[in-house]
Amino acid sequence: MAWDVRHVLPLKPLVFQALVVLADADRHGWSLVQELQRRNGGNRLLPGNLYRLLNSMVAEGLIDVVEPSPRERARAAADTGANAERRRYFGLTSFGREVARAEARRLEALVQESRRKRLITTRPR
Amino acid sequence: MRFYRLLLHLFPRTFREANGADMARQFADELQAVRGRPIGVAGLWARGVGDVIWHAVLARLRVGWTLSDAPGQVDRSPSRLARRAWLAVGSDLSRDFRLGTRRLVKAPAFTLISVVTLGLGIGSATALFSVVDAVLLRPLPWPEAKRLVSIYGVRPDRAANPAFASSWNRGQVSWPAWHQLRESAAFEAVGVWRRSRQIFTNPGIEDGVDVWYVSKSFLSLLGADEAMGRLFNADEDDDYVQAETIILPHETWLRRFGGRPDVIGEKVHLAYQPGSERVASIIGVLRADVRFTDQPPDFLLPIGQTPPVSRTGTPVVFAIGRLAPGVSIEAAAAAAEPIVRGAESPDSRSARLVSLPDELLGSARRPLWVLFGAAGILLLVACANVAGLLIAEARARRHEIAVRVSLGCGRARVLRQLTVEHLLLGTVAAAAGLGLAVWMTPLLVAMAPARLPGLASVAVDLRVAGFAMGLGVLTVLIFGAGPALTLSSTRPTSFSSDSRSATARHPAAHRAIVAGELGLALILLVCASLFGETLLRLTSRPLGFDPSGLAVISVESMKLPFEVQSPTVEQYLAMSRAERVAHHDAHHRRLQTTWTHTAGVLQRLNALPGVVAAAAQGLNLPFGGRLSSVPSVPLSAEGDPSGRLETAFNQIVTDDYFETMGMPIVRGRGFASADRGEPAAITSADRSASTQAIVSRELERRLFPDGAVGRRLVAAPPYRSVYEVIGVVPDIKQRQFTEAPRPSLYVLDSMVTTIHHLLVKTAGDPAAILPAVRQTIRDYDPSMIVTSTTTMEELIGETIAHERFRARLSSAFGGAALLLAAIGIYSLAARRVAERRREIGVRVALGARPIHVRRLVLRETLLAVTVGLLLGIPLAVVTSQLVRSLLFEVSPTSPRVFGLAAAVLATVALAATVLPASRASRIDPMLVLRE
Repeated sequence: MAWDVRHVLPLKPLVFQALVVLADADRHGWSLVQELQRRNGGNRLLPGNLYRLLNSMVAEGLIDVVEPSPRERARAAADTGANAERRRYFGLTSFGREVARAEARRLEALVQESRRKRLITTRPR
Repeated sequence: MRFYRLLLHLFPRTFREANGADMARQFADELQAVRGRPIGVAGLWARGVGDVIWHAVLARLRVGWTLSDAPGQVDRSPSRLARRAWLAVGSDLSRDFRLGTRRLVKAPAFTLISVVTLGLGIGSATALFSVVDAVLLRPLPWPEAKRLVSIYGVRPDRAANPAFASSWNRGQVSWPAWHQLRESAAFEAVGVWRRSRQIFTNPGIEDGVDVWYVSKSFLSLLGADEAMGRLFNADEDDDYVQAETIILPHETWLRRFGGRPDVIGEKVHLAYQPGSERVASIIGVLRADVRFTDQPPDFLLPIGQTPPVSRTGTPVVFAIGRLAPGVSIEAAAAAAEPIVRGAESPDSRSARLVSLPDELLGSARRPLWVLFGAAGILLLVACANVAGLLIAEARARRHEIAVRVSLGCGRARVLRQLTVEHLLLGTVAAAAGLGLAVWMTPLLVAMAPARLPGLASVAVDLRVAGFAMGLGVLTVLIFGAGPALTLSSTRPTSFSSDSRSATARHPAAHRAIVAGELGLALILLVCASLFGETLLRLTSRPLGFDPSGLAVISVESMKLPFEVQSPTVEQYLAMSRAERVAHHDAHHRRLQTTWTHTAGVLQRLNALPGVVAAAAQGLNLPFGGRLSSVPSVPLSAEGDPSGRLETAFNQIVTDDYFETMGMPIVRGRGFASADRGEPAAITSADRSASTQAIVSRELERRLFPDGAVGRRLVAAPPYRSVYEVIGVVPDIKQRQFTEAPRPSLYVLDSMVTTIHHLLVKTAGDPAAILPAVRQTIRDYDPSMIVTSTTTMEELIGETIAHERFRARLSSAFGGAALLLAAIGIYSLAARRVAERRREIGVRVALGARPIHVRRLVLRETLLAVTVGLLLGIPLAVVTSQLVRSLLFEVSPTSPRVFGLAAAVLATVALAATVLPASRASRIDPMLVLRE
């Protein structure tokens, strides 16, 4: 997909969060939703919203449907019960990874700037 | 979850195919997470449904999730441009949707009432539609079903005999007749079947089962295909010896054989009487979609199993046939007549052909359409309600719209906005209705009389869901069109307080709609009370016995302590005297064994906690009507010169029968164990020896008008038994509530070798004691097999299933209509009071007392009620004529029914006005005039 990373920035927070969650492991929809809720609190994304989001992210080439590794599968099965096997797993594409990295750098720059301007003082733990 | 999956059909197909399964699973997970918390579940459902509807609309409009907040990102690829064009339209629409959603959310009372009202109407109509669709609209599940006919052998001479009341015109045809019918050019194919109640005795499982003997052609007429193995072949139609084969219907295969794929070749043990056990090997399993013409059998055997002796002339098989193309049913009947009558047979049987669809659906059609019509009327009431609400809403919104128009909003824009709003309302209401239908349909199926064909396939499927959605959207669009059009033509000039009060003075449309609603509700109320009254009249007829607390256990003894060899009447008559005595001796030894056996079982049952009395009975169980004919005996009074014969039901009972059944002894006495008599009394072939008997009142009335006790009855040849009447008991209903009293003769169980039904009277719930009863019987005698257990009230309930179904459903509809009418009246009155605040304030300021104000409001309701009744009564009269054939002992124009319905309606309407009226009477003139 011939996209310039810069065209997609800044990402919507939810999209960025989803990319971050998927950065270290492929997940299925339900596990993704649980993880997002753990981070953000509030109501969970409902299926209609979630899958329209995932569809758009697939269409934009950020993520793709992948075969999960056996370890992932086992972990997911332990997480959410017996049905985990039959679900579709989503993982980052290289473009998605690049976009997430660019967004992270953008945010990092913003954070550094805020720190320089004494908006925040503490070092990240 | 099924509902959720249905809802997912709102998404575009490609989207659904890719994600639907995952979405449903995720929603199930969410539900799992809130399980046990009703409020959480309800909230999740509400959010989940909203989520699907909203995102489905967006997905259909191809509005993608905007991933980025980047400004001005433009892609010039054509597909992207097309998408942006879509997006432009979509976002306009989606703004309308958002606006509409906001409005609906901001007016929760209006939205809730509209959705509940419409949902109720749509839900009932949809649930009924799912039944009507499966039972009436879909073709019967057989190939060329329109040409299928039942071929009966009719015995008009038996029409008057109560023992054959339900079977004389549905008789069987003979074996040779079947062979000739097969050759007849009038029929393309003729298949035969006969049923028998047998006992399935595979090791470890013992149960009563329905076995059908069928011909090869019978299965092909039904279009039955095998899922496994093979079907019967032509040899098995005729070959008595070889036919040791059996076919399993799909249901049996699943239920009794666990759906194992390797059942072919397995053995099935069946017995139709003690000592008759046979083994057949399974050759095939039918497909799941095979439908039978009656309650489906448990096993299928080849018709060739019919013993050769039955193949000569005696009618033994039921026949169905498919008419040859172009042959009318009358022509086929004419062709079948000489065949069924039979050349040699003295049997006066004539042929009767009935179209199978007519036979199966004929009596169900009208009641179902009536109920569907009732659901339609309820939907109309709901629509009227919503229309009234929309009109009132429109009056209230004139101001808002006038502001918008004066700010430059075009008419089309206003119209579109309102239409989208209504569409939204309709969709939500339809979704609510669909949910209601999904919940209601299984209830309906459970409530419906079990014999409706196609009932098994009733389901809320896409077709039904489409019907509901279509109904919702259509009703709201149609009933919203008027208000929307009026509103959209609002001129900016109407934005003044003058015109506000001017429009408020003309609520005629709203009032007319409410009046119409009341009229429609009256129709439903009248129908409900007509059907209710019918059920009441039916069930209030005395049964003659007390069914409460009565458990019925049907048993079959598989083993007898001796060989049974009953001679036929002819054989008996041909015996020498010594042979007869020997036969009677053997018979008596047998009887003695069996009745001590029966007494043992009854004694143990009596000892169970909660059991008040227990008795046993032969074949003629009241309301146990599985038999097509019942044992009966022609009797005359001894010494009656006229020799007048009366056919009486032959009831074989044990000592405590009358106590168990709750039948009082009217005259004379009941049975005592001494009445079983000394063996000699029965054994001797002495004709003068008599058996003690008890007669029903009807038999007494017909044969002994001046008292039966102490008199003697003689059975006509070839029976010749003599009975001494020791008591008289009331007449009881044998089959249904409507039947005329029939003569019955009760004798002790000394005349049978086996009993068939055990009756247990309990102090509590009879169903609760059934497991203990089963266990007791099994412990007492493992060879006594319980073939079915039920309660007397359930058996009786089956005979009034249709009436009860109609009464329950129509009263549910009537109640719902009443509720909707009350809501309609309330909203009219409340709205009117709100609009007339100023006027009422002025009146109060000029000295009107609260009672006057209340009267003012009530008068308006009374007007609506009067108009509604004037409208509704003629409609209800017409409707009641349509349902006339479904009524029993109630006149369709019964003034009592109409008066009651009208009074209930008027009372409810006035009650619904009380709140707005009292609110009006409390209006403070100072406050109002200052506004």
